[in-house]
Amino acid sequence: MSGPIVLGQWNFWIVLYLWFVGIGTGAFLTAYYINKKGDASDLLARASWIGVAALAAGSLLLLIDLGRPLRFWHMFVSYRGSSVMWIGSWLITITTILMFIVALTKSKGVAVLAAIGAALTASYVGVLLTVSAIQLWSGTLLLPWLFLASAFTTGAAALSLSKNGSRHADVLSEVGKVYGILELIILILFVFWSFAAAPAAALSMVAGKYIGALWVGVLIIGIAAPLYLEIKSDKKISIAATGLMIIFGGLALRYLVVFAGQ
Amino acid sequence: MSTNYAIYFDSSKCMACRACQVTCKQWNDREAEITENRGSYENPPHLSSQTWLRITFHEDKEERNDPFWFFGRNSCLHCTDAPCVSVCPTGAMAHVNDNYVVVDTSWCIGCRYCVKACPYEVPRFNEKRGVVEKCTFCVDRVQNGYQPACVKSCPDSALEFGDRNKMIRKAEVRIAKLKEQGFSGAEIYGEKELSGQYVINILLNEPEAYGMPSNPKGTGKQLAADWGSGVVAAAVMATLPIAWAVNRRMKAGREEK
Amino acid sequence: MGVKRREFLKLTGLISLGSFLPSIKEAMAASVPLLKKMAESPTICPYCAVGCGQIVSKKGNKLLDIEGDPDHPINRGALCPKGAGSRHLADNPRRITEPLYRAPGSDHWEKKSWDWMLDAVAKKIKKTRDDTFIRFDRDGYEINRAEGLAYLGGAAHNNEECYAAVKFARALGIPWLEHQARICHSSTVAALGNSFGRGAMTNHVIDMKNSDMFLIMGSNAAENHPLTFKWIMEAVEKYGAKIISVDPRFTRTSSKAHYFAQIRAGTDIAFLGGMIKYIIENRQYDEFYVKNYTNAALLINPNFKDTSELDGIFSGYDAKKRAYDKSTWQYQTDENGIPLRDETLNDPNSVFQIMKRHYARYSFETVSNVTGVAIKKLKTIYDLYSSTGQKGKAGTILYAMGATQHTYGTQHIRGYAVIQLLLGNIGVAGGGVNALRGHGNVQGSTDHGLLFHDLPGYLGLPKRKEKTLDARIKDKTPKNYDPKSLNWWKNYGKYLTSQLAAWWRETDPRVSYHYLPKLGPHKNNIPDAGSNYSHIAMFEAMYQNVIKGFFVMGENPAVSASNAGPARNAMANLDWLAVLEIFDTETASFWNRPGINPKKIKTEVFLLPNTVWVEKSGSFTNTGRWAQWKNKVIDRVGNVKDELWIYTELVKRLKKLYSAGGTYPDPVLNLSWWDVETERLPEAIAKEINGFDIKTGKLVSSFTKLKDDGSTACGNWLYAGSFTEKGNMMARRNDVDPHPAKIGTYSNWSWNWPVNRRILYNRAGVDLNGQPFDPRRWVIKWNGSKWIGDVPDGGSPPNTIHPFIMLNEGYGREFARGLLDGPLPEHYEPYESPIKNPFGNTQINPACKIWATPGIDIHGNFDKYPVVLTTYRVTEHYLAGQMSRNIGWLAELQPDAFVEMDREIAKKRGIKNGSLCEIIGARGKVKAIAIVTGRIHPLKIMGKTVHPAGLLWSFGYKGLVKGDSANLLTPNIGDANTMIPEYKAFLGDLRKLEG
Repeated sequence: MSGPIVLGQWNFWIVLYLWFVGIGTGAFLTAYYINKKGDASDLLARASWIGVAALAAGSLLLLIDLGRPLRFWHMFVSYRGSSVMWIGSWLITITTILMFIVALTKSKGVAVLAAIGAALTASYVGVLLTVSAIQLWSGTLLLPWLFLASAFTTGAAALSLSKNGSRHADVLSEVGKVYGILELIILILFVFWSFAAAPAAALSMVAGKYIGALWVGVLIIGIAAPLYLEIKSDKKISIAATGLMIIFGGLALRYLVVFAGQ
Repeated sequence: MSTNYAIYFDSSKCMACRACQVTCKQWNDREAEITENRGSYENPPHLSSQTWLRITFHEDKEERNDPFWFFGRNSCLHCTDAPCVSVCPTGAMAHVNDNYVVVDTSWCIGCRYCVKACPYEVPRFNEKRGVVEKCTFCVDRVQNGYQPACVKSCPDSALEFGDRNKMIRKAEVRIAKLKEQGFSGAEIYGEKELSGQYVINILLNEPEAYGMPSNPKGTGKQLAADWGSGVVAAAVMATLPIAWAVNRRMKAGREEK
Repeated sequence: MGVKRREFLKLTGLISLGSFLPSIKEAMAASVPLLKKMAESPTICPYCAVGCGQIVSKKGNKLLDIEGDPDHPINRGALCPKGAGSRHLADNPRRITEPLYRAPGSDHWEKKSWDWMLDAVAKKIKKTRDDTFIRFDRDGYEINRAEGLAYLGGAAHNNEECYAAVKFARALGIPWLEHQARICHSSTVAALGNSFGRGAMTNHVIDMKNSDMFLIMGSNAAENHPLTFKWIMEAVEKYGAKIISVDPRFTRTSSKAHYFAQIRAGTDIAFLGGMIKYIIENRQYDEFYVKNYTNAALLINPNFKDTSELDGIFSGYDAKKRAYDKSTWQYQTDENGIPLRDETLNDPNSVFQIMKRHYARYSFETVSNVTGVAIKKLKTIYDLYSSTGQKGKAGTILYAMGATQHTYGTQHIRGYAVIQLLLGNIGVAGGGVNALRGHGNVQGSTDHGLLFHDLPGYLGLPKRKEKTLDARIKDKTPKNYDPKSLNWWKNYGKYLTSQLAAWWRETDPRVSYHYLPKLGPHKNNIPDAGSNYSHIAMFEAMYQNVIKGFFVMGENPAVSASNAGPARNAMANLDWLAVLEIFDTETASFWNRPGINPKKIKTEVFLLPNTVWVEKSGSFTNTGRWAQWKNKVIDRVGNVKDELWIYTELVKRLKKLYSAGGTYPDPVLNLSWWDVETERLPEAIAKEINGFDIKTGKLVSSFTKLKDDGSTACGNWLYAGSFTEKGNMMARRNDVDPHPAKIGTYSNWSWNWPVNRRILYNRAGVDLNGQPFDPRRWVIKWNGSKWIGDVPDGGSPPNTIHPFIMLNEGYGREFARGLLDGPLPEHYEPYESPIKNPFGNTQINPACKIWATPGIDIHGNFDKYPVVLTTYRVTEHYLAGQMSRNIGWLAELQPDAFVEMDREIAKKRGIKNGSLCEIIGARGKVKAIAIVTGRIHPLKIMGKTVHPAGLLWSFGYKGLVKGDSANLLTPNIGDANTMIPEYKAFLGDLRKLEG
C-alpha cells in the first residue's frame, strides 16, 4: 500500500514563483517608466538586475517544483502554442535575457522590448492560473489584472528598498499608492465575482480557512497599512516598513489565490 | 484497427461491485491506497496516480418512499477538446489515434498543469516517479484487439465498448427507455461535452449529482478570453496608471523645485 | 486538433525517449505492445461459488495477470472485484511461507521445519485420540469416537482435499467434524432435501437468464454473487424480467431491483406465509402441477393438529424435550402402503386444506404489523410474484445467508419451496429455489460430508443403534409401495458399501463399518453430547474443556463463529491447535489478540502454510453443482506445502505411530491412502471419488454401476461419472450450449452432479405426455421414443414415475413430515425480538435448542436493547476476511468495519455519518464506523417504532485492515434442524464515541 493519496497540488514553490515574477517585472516596469520621464538610469540598471535575479530565481523555483526537473528542456523543443505555460516559459526566458542585456548595455531599444516582455510576463502568471479548471482561478478574468497591480506595488517597494531607491522615494511611493488603490479595487471585484463563480473558495477566503491570509496578510499588511502610511507620508518610518509590508502582502496574495483555489 | 472506439457506461445498470476499479489496478499494476470509511462505501476518495478509475456512490439526501442509490464512474473521459492536452507545455499529454488521451510518462516533466486544467480532476501526480499518470484507455489492450480491462471485467454490461457512433445510438435508445421507466432526469454525457468524449455516460440524474460539471469549459474559448484579458491587462495596467503616477510625481517634483 | 500537433511532433522527432507504456511515439505507430502477456492457463476463481473462469499468465513463476476467462460460459470474461484482485491473493508478501510454531505461553511464532511440525502434530493427534477415545459407551454400544479431537474447515478447498480430509478425520474417529457449510447453508440442505429430495440449488447460474421474475430475499446477490447479475440483467434487458428485493436494508441488489421492501430482520416466514395465503386464496397456483406433482392432494393422519389450533405448535410436541413426535404428521396410506389422495383437494385432511387453514392467520394486517412492510407493498409484491404461477411463466427465488441463518432457517427455505411448488416453478428453466452458496467449493465440501452428521454423498453418519452394516442399510433404505415412485434411496446400500470399500480397501466393508464413529447420546457435561457435534456445540464444548486438539483448515472461527468472544476464549482451553492457512488469521493468532496476555495461554499452535488455488490441481463444485477442474499454474511459493501432501505425511506418521500400538489402531492402520507423488494426488483422489471396480481397476461410468457386495469402491456416489474411462469429465471445456432451446445448459462444460443434469427435477417441468409447460424455454421433452434436452430426472417414459425421484413418495412436498420443527413453515420470532409473537403464544421456534452456559449465553431484551440488528458482508470482503483483508486492492475499497443505521436513530443517539460508534449487545460490544443512510428506515412493528441497523461482520484483528467482528454480538442459538446459528436477527443498541 502506498502512503497518503497524492493528488498533485501546486504548492509553495509556485507561490514563490508568482511572487518573484511579480517583483521582478514590476520593478523593471516601474524603473523603466521613471527613467523614461526623467533620468533614472541608475534605477533602471538596479531594476534590471532585480528583474534578472527575480525571474531567474522564480524560474529556478519552478524547476525545483517539477516532478522531473532535469527534463525542463522538453518544454523548449516542442511547439505548444495552446499551452499558457509553454508561452510563459518562452516569455520569461526571453524577458530575462532582455533584462540582462539592459542591465549590461543600458540599451534603450532593448529596454523597450524588455518592458513589453515584463508586462506580458507579469500578466501571463495570471493567465496561467486562469486557464484551468480551478473555479477560483478561472471563474473571473481578473487574475492578470490583480497580479499586474501587485507586481507594481511589490516591484516599486522592492526598488524603494534598494540601494538607489531613496533617491526616487517620492515617485516610488506614488506608484505604490496608485497601484495599491487599483489592487484594492480589483481585489474587491475579484472577491465579489468569485462569490458567483467559486462560492466555496470565496467563502473560504472571506470567512473560512483563508480568512487570515485575506484580511490580515493581503488587505491590512499588504494594502491598507502601507497606503495609510504613504498617504500620511510619514517618511521616517515608512520607507522600509511600507516596502516590507507590501512585499509580504504580495506573497500573501499569491498564497491566498493559489491555495484557496485548490 | 478502428480508431473510433468508445467506452460506454450505463449508470442504470451499474451495481457498484467495483470489479472495474480493481481490474484497472490489476492490469495496470497500480498500488492500493490507504483509505478510511467516510460514511460511505465509496473509496478511495479521489483519483490518484494509483487509482485511475473509481466508482462513486450517490444517495438521495431527501427521504423518499424507496431509497435511490446510484453509481457513477469517475475516470478519464478522453475529451476531444481536452484541457489537459491543450495546457501541456511539452506535449507529453496528447491524443493517440486522434481520440484517446494518453500521457507519455517518459516525456512528462511533472509540472501538473494538466492536474489543474482537467475539469474532472483526472490526471494525477505520482510523486515517486515525478510524472502525471492517468487512465490510458488501455490503449495497449485496445490496439491489440482486447477490450479495456475495466470493460471486460464488468459483470452485467454496465460497461461496454464499441464504435463510438454505435455507442451513442445505443445510449439514445437507452435514455428513451429510462425516461419511459420514470427516470425523467436521465441524460447522455460525453456525446457533445468538450467536443465529444470517448466515454459515453448514461446518467440517471443531472451531472452535478455525480460530481461532474454540466458545462465543462473547453479550452478554445477560455484561452481566447483569458489571453485577451491578459494582454489587455498588460497593455492597460502596465502603461496608463504607471505613466500617470510617474508624470504626476515628476510634475509635482518639478513644481517643488 | 490532434493531428496537426502530432505531425509537428513527428517532424521534430523529439518525442519519447523512454520505453514505458504508453509511449506516444509507439502509439502513433499504432502498435503499443501489451503491458503484459495474457491468457495462458485457465483456472477457476477461488472466491465465491458462482464458479467463474479465470485465465492466468505468468513469467517464470511470477503471476503477471489474472482476468476473466472469456470462454467460460458463466462469466464470459467478467469478474467481480475479488476475482479481479485475486492475483494478490497468490502473489502477496503477507502470505506465510514457513511452518510456524507457537510454544505454550510464548508471545511469538518460531520457524520450524516441516518434519518437526508434522512429527509434533502427528504425536499430538495420537495422544489426544488415545486419551479421549471411547470404544463403547456406557450402554455398551460401540461408538468409536475420539471425543477430544475436533476438525473444522474445507469450503475453500478442492473436492479432493475435502474428501481426503473427511477420510482422514473419520478414520481417526473425529466426531467434531464441521466446516463452513454448517453455518452457511446447512438449513438449505435440510429444507430442500425434505422438499424436493436434494439439498442443493435446483437450477444454476446461467439458467437465471430464463426467468421472468426474481424474488431476491435473504440474498444480496449483486454484492455477494456479482456474476449472477450477468444473467439476471440479461433476463431483465432481453425479456423484461422484474426483480423484487426484500431485505432489512436497501442494498446494491436493491438498487437494481424494480420493487423493494424493507423487512424487519427475522420475519421472513410471516412475509412468505402471507404470500402463500395470497396464492391460495386468489387461486394463483398452478392447479395441474399442485395436484399431480406435489403432495397437496395427499391425506395426512387425521390426528394431526396445526399451529393454528395449538397456539403456535404442531401436534406431538414434548415441551420438556423441546422436540416433536412426528407420528401424527404422516400420510394416510392404503393397504399397500400407498399414500391416499384426494384429487379435488377438498378433503380436510389433505395437505392443501391443512395448508389453507394454517396460513389463514397470515393476513395482510398481521404480516404488515410483524414485518414492517406496508400492506400496499405486500399486495404489489405478492401479486407480482404469484403471477409466475401462470403456464409459461417462470419465477425464481434467490437466497443465501439472510434466509438460512435463523432459528427457523430451514423452515424459511421451506417457505420458498412451498411457494415454488404452488406456482409450478420447480423443474422449469428460470425457476427453482436457488441457494447461492458462498465459498468456492462449499457445495463440494458439503457433498463430501465434512459435517458431523454426514458422510460423503449425504449417506449420513451411522447411529450407535445401527450395530452392523446391514442394520444401517436396512434403516436407511426407505420403503415405498407406490410403483410410480422411483424412491432412489433404495440404492443406499450400494453407495455406503462402496464408500467403505474405498476407505478401507483391504477390509471387508462389514468390518470397516465398525471403524466409523457412531452418533448417539453420551453423557458428559455437554447437553446433547453424542448427537450434536455441530459448530455451536463445538465451541460450547471447547469452552467447557471437552475438546483438547483442534485441527482447522482454511476457516476462521475467531471471526465467523457466533458469539465469537467466548469462542476465542474457548480456544485457550485447547492443548493444541493446528491451522492450515495461507495467511496468519485471527484464529491462528487467537493467543496474541488485543487485550490478551499470551503468557497465560498454554495452547500449542502449529501454523501450516499451504497453497493457493493456482498452486495446485483439483476441482471446485460451484453453487449450480458444476464440478470444475483446474490445473496447477505456478509452483508453490517459499516453503509452502500442498494440503494433500500434509495429509499424506500425517497419515504416514500416524500409521507408523499406531503400528507401535495405541487405542483401537485398526481404522488408522488399515486406511487406504494414495501412494503417488504429490503432483498426481488430485487425479488419483478424483478417480477414487468417482469409483472403480476393485478387481479390474476400471473407473465406473455412473453410480448405477456400483454394487453392495464390496466389489466396487466409490468415495462419493454423487460424483460417480465425474472421472471415467473417457477421462476427466470435470475438465471439459466446450463452451457451446448444446441444448436445442438454448436455455444455457452448457452440458459439455465441466460436469455436474447428478449425472450431469443441469436443472434438477426437470420431470416436473413437463406434462403427463412429456411435453414442456413452456415451449420456448423447455428443459426436457419426450419426442415419442426418448427424452431430449437436459438429462432427465430418471430416464423412464413420461407418466411412469413421479417427478421427485429422490423422495420416497415421489411428490414435491408442500408438507414435509421429516423435519424436526414442523411440517409447514410457521412464523416464530427470533431469539431476541422486539415483540411478542402475534401468530400464537409460542415465541421462538419450539424445537430449537437453547444453550445456557452461564456467562456466555446471555439473552438480551428489547427494553435494554432497542435496535434490531443484522449482520452481512459486502462485495469487497470475503466472509471472515482473511482472503480479502490481506489484499490491498480490496482493503482500500472497504477499509473499516461499519454499521448502517437510519437517520432518525442516528440523530437520537447523536451519531454522525462517518464517525466511530459503538454497538452494544447482551454478549459484547463492537466498534464500527457509522454509515447514516436513507437506505434504512425505522419500521412500525405492532404499533412500535423499531430501528433496524446492520453490521458488516468480516473484520478482525489481523490483516491489512482491522476492526471488530460483528460476531462478538451474535447469539449461540441454532436452527432446530441443523443448528445453523442465528446470525441475522438480534438486539442491541448504538452509542456515539466521537463528535
